[in-house]
Amino acid sequence: MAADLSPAGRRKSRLRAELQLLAARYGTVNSDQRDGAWIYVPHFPLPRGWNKREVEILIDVPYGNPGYPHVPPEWFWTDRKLAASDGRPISHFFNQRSQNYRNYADRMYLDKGWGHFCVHLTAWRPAAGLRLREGHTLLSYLDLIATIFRDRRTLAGW
Amino acid sequence: MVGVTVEIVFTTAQWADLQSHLLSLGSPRTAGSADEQMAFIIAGPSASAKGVRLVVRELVLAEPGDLARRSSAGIAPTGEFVAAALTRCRQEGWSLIEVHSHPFSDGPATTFSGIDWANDREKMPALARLLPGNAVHATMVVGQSSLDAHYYDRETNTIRPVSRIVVHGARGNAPVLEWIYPVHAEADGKVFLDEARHTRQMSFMGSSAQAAMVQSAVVIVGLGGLGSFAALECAHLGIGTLVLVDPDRVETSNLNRLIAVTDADVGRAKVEVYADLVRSVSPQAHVIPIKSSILSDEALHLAKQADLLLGCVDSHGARLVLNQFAVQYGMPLIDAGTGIRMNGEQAARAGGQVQLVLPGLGCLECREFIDVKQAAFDLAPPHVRQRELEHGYGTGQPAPSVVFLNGVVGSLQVAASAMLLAYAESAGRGGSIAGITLYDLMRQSVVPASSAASDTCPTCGPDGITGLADLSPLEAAVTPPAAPAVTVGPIQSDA
Amino acid sequence: MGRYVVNGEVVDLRQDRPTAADLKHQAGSPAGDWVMATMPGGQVHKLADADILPAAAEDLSIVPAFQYGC
Repeated sequence: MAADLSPAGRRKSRLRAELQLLAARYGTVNSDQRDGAWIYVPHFPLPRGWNKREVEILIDVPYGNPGYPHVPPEWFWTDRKLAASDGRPISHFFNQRSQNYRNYADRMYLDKGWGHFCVHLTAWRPAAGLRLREGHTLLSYLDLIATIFRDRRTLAGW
Repeated sequence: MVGVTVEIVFTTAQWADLQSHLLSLGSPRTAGSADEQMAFIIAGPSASAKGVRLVVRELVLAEPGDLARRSSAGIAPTGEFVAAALTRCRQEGWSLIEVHSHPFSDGPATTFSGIDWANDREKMPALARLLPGNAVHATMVVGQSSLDAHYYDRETNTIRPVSRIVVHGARGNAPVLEWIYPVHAEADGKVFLDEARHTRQMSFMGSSAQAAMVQSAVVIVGLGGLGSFAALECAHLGIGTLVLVDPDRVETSNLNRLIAVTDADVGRAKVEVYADLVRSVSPQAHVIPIKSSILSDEALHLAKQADLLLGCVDSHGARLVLNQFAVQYGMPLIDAGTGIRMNGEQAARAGGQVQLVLPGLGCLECREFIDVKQAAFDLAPPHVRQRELEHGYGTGQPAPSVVFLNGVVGSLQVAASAMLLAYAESAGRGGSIAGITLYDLMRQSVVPASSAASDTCPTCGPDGITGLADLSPLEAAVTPPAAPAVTVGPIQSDA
Repeated sequence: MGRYVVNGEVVDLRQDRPTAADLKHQAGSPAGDWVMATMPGGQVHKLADADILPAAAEDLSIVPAFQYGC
């Protein structure tokens, strides 16, 4: 099939390849068919200590050019009603409207039910498209998200 | 398209593979045998007001089964071989170059034979029209020591000479930049050398080196501490065209390190200040100030026409953009950076580095030089940056910066630039430059280093962006995506 | 020597007392990645490259280096 070499075309093609890796671990995973600007994991399993057994995850895929995979993802979005099972507040999790409610993130994400964890990568070695197991991919990022959900001492202060 | 130029840009590896295939280098040749070979070249178009650069993506070397005819009357590919190459170009937007060899041609005048011309006049118009939009169709003939090349110009319905072949990359660890002129390339006219002005460097580097620098176009991205040295030193050297790119204005806190800038310049655009300074140092230079980031249409358009990019930025997002541009558009990049890290009131580390980004040497990404956290912020869409700023991102003190550190690193960067450009027309006569140079201010040491290409790099590796050129335009992330909504489910208590 | 579940996948290590570095090497991970061990009681520790993989770890993961923002 002819390759769509536009930035969005190349990004969507890369996401399609990565989704096969992700689906093997997380079942159905969707990606943005229009711009390749996000991926969505509907059934992400959570460890003990949360008010849900599984949760939805949305990851913004950097969509400029340069964009993903040269630019790593940062943050991730999840159900804004996620809470620690003991009711403690969760650090680095933003699920309330900001004072500047006109902020785009609030309107497009918060009002649709998403809160975000503020996480940043400090090292990133993206895999080449034909050798996805040799380097970082969105699967690596989801592995990090799984570890973060287990890190309740940092997040929920116990 | 009178005055428009077409150039073809190869990496050293592609050029070596092509030469080896066309000229059967290393294999014994029998006198009188038909040794002609041919190949197709798939290239990405880089279009600008100056013309089109064809940045080679891939070679499609003809196997014996791909040839319909190979005799003293010439070499011809099969219809299937041509159709396969054409289909790929039509579907994906590539330009197509057909190249064959005259292996028996040994002198400085390898050119198209009468048969070659007849074939090209008959076939080039039709083939060119089958290619999409901006794509160009060109043919080349390669001999032992010279070559010729021409392209079909759709607007004038004529076959016109290709102006220049650029080969860039590395041989072993040694950076390489070569300009090869097709036999029928239109000469630009005599290059004016201001000997009275430049005699002290011409006695060091030679007059052909001076001529090469006068003919060069260099883009300097970032007119801060490092860029100020780059701009003025390039002006003193006599670089012919300088494009200065920076969105900022001079502030009082810049006056400790922007060379030759005064109180009267505070509030002026940095690129305007340096355009004036460059013109006063080098009245012959053509200087273009661009008050924007490198991602503006204007800056990218001019960068496409350059011979060399100098990265003098302190933003890792901008660095990533320059790195991507260099690989995608086949443009040599020399990146410089400095840093001072304090430990309380003591300087813990201070130094800098100069890095060449050329095919075969790796790039800033696979050397893991990019600060990805900073780059992710720099290149994030505005609503994300706004949110992060609201939460206190980037509110620390700016890093220390001092003129003598910038001066050493800036001069190392210009030295590498001069060495690379000066010997572009006389390959092999220049000195060898290191791919990476590290400067430690505390130890007063300058250490050369090297790196090799990574075959898993998504930018410069075999699966990367080499040659994509205009087919995948660089752009900032501004248009927000539409995010899906959370599916609200019942709250479950954990087991 | 033994089998370890890392990021949900089984990794075999031949060393008697494998370290975090051994694990990264066997899994083919970038050298700069972090090995994280979840201990009983819910504490997540980052292991140094030379640290022996803790026998009591509930699970192990290899993740890109990161920091919490805001």
